[in-house]
Amino acid sequence: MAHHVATLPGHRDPDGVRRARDLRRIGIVALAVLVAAGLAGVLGPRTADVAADGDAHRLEVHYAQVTRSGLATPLRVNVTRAGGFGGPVTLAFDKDLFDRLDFQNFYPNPAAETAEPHRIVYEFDPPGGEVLSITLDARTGPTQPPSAHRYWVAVMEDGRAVAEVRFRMVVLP
Amino acid sequence: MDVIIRATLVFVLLWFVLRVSGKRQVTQLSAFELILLVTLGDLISQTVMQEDLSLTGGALAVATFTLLSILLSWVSWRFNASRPVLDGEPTILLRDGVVDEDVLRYERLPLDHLLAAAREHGVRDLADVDLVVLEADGTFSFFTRSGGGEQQHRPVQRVE
Repeated sequence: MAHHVATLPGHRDPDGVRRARDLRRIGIVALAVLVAAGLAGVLGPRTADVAADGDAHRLEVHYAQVTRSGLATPLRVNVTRAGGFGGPVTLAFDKDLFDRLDFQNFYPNPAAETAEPHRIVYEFDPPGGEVLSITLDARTGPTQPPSAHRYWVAVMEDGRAVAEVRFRMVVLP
Repeated sequence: MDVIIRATLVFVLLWFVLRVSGKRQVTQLSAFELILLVTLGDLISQTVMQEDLSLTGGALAVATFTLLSILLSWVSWRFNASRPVLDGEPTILLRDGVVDEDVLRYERLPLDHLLAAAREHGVRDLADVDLVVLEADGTFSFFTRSGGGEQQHRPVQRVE
């Protein structure tokens, strides 16, 4: 004997229809908010500049404020010294920054490099003029977990920081 | 932001490509066309994402595609005049048992496909059919004559 199996969907009451419609609208609004955040640059990649002065030096760093794993992450450092540089320019970088980013190369390349427990110190040949401009070709590690940490870069003279900047970099998944 | 702009441009390009390529359902695609479609998807994903393999980037691309798709369906629903442009129009392939070869040529639809669709609808002879419509979504609608089995059937010429 054949069994009767209803194939028509059950009747939905007006409240259920309204609820379903509201849920769909909430979903659409959520998607719109996500895209709007992306258009506004909140979800990166976004860059910013920070600067500090000290002992006749001016240190300017152009960094990635918000980045995402696997994306190119610019880091540009400008050191200005009125009257020019008398000898090699020493820059110290937060070691955590190097842990977070995959660095490919420096332009120009440093003359010397020293790794210390919490920082990495690079020595650059002095430029002809008053400004030493260094670009680091880097990208956020593709397997980096989301994070929002502060990092620092400093100009060193006689073993002490004469100009130091701190900046916050957010890494999104 | 780059991902959203690329996704928007690719969405428009895809819509244009699919409108130009004509009405075809996935089930009607040949194996080669299916492979082409898969390859197209792969190329598109590279174009949209480029080197951004992050979860956020993927979510932005998916959200952009979804919103544009919703927008397209809303415009199609809200403005009747836009529907032929956005979704395409149904076309009559056969009337009173006579195949319109000009329409077949325009739709680049082999007669074999029409015959296969007729068989799927339980039609043995096209002479029994009053009207065949190729819908905008690529499906066939068959309107058979009432008492068509008693009519004098005439063979349908194949278009090669």
